[in-house]
Amino acid sequence: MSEPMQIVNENELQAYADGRLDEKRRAEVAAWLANHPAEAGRVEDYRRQNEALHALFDPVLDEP
Amino acid sequence: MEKTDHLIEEHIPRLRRYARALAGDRARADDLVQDTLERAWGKFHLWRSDSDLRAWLFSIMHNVYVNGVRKSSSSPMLLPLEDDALDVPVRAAQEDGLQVRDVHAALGCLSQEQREILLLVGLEEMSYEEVAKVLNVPLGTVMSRLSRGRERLRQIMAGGAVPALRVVK
Repeated sequence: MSEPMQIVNENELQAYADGRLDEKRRAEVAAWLANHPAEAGRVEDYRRQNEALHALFDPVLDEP
Repeated sequence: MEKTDHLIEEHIPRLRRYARALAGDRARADDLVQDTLERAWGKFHLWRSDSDLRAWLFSIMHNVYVNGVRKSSSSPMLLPLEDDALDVPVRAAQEDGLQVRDVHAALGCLSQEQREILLLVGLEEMSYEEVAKVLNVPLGTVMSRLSRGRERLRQIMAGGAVPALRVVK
């Protein structure tokens, strides 16, 4: 990554974890995260939190 | 009236899912849904048909929930953590690291404000703007609570031990 990367802010990291960035920005943030392992780990944990919430509570949708 | 019922009914499964996650157990969640629906039916004439019905219903649930929390503040809610109190069948194949039961327990350690936002974003998948509308707070507040709530959840999970009973503010 020799190109200077735009600064990624906290809100964008949240949006990245939620899959809400547009394709271009998503790729830029992913490239930035590749050089920032601590943030990458954090964002991955947030994504998993969302997964866990669905695993826990989605079954309620199918209750009679 | 028939039409009203039908419009609102469509949203009931998601209201129930959110209530279960918010309230922690089935009985309290059922009460929350019931109170929300009664209020929604009673106030339905106030809903503008060009606005988002889901957001309207969730904001009613938010108000019912917050009022309930306030009322019970003299005798804080305790969320039991026994397996049978969980009341939701946990889907298998979720074994890679993060344990869903721990997430359930850790959720109870968040502030009510953080928990609501984490759930509306992560579970209900509302846009950040919608969440701001439902909770009647500025977008910046949504983002800062989301960020802090997630980090707190993460730290609780990393610490492993979650107290078996804790006071929900």
